Amino acid sequence: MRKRTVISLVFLLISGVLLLFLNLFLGSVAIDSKEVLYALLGRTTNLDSSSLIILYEYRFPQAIVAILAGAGLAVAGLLMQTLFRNPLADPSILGISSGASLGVALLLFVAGSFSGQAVVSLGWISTLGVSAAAFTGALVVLFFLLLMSARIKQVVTLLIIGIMIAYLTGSLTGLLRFYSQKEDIQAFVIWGMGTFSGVGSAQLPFFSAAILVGLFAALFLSKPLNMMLLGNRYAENLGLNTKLHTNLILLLAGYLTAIITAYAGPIAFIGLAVPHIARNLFKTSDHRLLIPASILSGAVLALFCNLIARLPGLEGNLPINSITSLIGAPFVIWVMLRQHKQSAFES
Amino acid sequence: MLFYSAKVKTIYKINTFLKKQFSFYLFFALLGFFTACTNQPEQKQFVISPQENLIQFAKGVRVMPLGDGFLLQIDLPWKSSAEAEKQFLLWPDSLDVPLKFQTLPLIKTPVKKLVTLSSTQWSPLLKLGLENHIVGISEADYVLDSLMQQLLAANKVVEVAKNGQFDFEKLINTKAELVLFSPYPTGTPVSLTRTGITLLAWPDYIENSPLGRAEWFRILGFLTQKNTTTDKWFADVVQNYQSLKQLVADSEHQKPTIIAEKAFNGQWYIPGGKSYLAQIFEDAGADYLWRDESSTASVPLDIETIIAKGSAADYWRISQASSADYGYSQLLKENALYSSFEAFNNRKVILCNTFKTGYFEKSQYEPDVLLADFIHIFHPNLLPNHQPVYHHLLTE
Repeated sequence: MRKRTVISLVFLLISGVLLLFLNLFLGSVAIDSKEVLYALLGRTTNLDSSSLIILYEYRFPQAIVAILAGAGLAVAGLLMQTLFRNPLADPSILGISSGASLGVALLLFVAGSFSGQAVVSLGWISTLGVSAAAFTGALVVLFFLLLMSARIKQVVTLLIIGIMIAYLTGSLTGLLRFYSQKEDIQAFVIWGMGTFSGVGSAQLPFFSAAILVGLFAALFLSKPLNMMLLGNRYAENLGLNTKLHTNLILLLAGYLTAIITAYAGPIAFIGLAVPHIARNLFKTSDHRLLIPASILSGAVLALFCNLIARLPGLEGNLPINSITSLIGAPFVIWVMLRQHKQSAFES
Repeated sequence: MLFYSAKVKTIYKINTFLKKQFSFYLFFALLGFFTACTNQPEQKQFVISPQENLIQFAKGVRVMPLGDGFLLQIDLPWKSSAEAEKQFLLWPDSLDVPLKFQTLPLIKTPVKKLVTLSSTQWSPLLKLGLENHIVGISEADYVLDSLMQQLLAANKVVEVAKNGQFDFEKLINTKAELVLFSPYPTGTPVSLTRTGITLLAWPDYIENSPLGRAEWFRILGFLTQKNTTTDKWFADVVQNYQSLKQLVADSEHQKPTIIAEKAFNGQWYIPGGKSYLAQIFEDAGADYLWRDESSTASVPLDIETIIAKGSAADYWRISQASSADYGYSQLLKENALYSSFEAFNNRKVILCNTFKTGYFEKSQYEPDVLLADFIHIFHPNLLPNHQPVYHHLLTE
């Protein structure tokens, strides 16, 4: 293994562990760090029941969700960038997350949830939770994309169709918003800010398993992804079934995005930025390394953002969606400037 | 023959289409899965008959005496919600709960530590002198009441939600016994149930009759064992409101026409014809131009529609939060089209300055005062000595 790879891996692992503990130690309510450590190690603590609820029901699940969501979005972004051979692609580019937004908008606005003033009485849809609505919305778009992909030869055409779907769902959401009650609009805006705190200890095993399956599956796509980076013709000459793999990549990226958006809201930027960070940190375009690197970098960035958003002294919890861009964007610019002569794909 | 083969071809095409589109099946299977996963409404344990119900005007809440305690039932307007009708047993802390009632969710009274997420919940508690029962509120920046500001500054009350987002750590740390919250039709968010604190939905804003909305403070009385005080207080409010309404009904007068609210970002949210405000206009002897509209909430309309129907209205009621003086020149700056309203040109705009009057904190419990304000403006001869509290005729 190259020296650079080892150093980068160790750096990411150490900062990841450090950030994980800081996420557990710090919050808007002060809890003694030593006691937190004892509680995590299963030793007897002097913590009262409300501190234990804060720790087990909020801080711990939130940190795990940040790790998995960060990793999942990073991998989804990497898959999109490689599939479309476009450094600006991210999980939201095919309209999957705007499909999720439309699902939530339908739930909040059409079912007239908050104000109780339904525009249309849809019956069953109002019994769905926000997560289920987002997941359904994302899946509808994903299946539509897979249908399209079966008919289309050119991957660029698929990209354009995906962007059109994003506009379409976005404008439908906008129209729904226009005819809605103020309370429902506020609820929608808050959902759009994203949060890692939507998963409790009860749903955590399901969420973790779902994301881990996706991440694990991505590792198996490393070699096909390496081939596809060279272009579809080339990959076909190497004996790769590009049609099948295009669909697999779409399915996997869409699956990760749908689950994460359902539970955490539409979290921007991580999916776009982390693959660039990983490429530059490890100076590689080999997906066998790039996928684990993206997983680690995504987890570290998300943990860092989650920490900043909840720092004690700050008023309440800042919207995670703004924090990811606020912290990530200057970092990516800096990384890009450092090696502006090289393209992100040649390094 | 030709026809036959075309038909077979079509069937074949449909079949292959369906076979290929397994994703559709998967999608509908998932839909079914999510629909099946949602909770069924809880089985009601007791039925509160109208005769036993102690609540007179509010439609979303019922209270019935039950042994040494009370049975409280909160009805949510969206019937599909899992918590559409939720019952609680209010039982004195000093007594044991009889076995037959132990299946009911329990709230021990008097509740001593309350998180009140809306000012319509903490404001009457302050009036009852129960400020030491409040441990948490939301949106502290918007608090106008000086006592509540002091409690916040002294850290006796904590801000547990800001800009619509909870700070769950602070909420749990209040060690509250009960959280009063505005309900969600999609079911209570899991993140809120995880706090382990008993949650009581408080859909008071759904009530569209002024007395019904006011009556919710009686529930605070049952929760804090101050129900004798709140019952007397409410009886006075009802008495005042109904005698004012009767005063208008008995007098001979012209019904002035009125419109309400103003444009915001191109949308004019006009109060529905069955809304709270429409009811007060009616009781105050005015002719609200949208009274035949069927909604109980606000309806977004285009400014042209409003001008077409309401430009000749006698009065125009607006609400505005403003720390500085607010008048006709500020209104005109917001939108030049406002000069097409006769009420604007005749200086008949009624302003509710929500920042200076504490409208959102207090007016809900003083519908009689709200009504008197409007009667004083519409029919000055009926209440010549009334000092307006929430609504003033804008002169400048």
